[in-house]
Amino acid sequence: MKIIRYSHSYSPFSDLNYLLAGRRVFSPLLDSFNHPSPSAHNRGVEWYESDDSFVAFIDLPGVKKNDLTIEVNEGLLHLRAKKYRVQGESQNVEKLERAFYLPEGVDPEAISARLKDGILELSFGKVKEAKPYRIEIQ
Amino acid sequence: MNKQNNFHCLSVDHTHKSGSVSTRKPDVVTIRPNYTSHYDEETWEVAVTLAGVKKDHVRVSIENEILNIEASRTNSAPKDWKPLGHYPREIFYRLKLDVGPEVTPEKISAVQNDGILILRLPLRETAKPKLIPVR
Repeated sequence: MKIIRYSHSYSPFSDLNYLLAGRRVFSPLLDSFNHPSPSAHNRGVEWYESDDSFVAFIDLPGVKKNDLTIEVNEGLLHLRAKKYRVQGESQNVEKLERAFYLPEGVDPEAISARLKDGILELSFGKVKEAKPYRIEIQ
Repeated sequence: MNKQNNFHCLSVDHTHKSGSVSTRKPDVVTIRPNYTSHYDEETWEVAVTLAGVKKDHVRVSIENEILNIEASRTNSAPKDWKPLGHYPREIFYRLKLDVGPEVTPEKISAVQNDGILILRLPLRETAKPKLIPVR
């Protein structure tokens, strides 16, 4: 399993992301975090928030961790996976791709992932809020 | 020679047990899992998608040529986590497949890995294709 983080501000896909974010109808891959749909459960994604993290449970049955890439870029989480199925003497490869908007306040440097029993558990640390401080006038 | 085929899937109740009639989403749901099947000369193979289900929460049985697969999955999130949507506390999976008389019940085997349950159902000798020599 590979986690790729993009920390630079420029992304060749940033314009595409903007378009996709604005016009979700063209993006069946994108699942909106901010606007969860009633069928979100059927798509096998659950989000939780704790005091110090956001956690996502994503169904990925049949996927092995070496065949999964997780990419975080511009507030978007992108999963790419290959699922191998042996049927008799033949082997089928199914490519899976999903993308999710991340909630605000996620620290892209503090992500951990675990894949078990066909469920990917992603834990995102929260950005610590900057505390206001008083500036003395001299 | 591999062939794709679906067993005859019997109807399953898709019950939603919320305890009362309301617009509230149910805490316990029963659904039919996705599955694929194929066969060759020796065996039927059925792959059932059971993401998040532990092995000891799966029950497979066969009776009167009906293969029954029952499984359950419990929400594992700690109670102090705030769900950002409504998710069922428990999911029950029910699948009934009419496998017919060709299968040898006592030789059925099951393996579960990465959220996929694979059932192998060996065919009876009489059901296997036979090459008849021409004299």
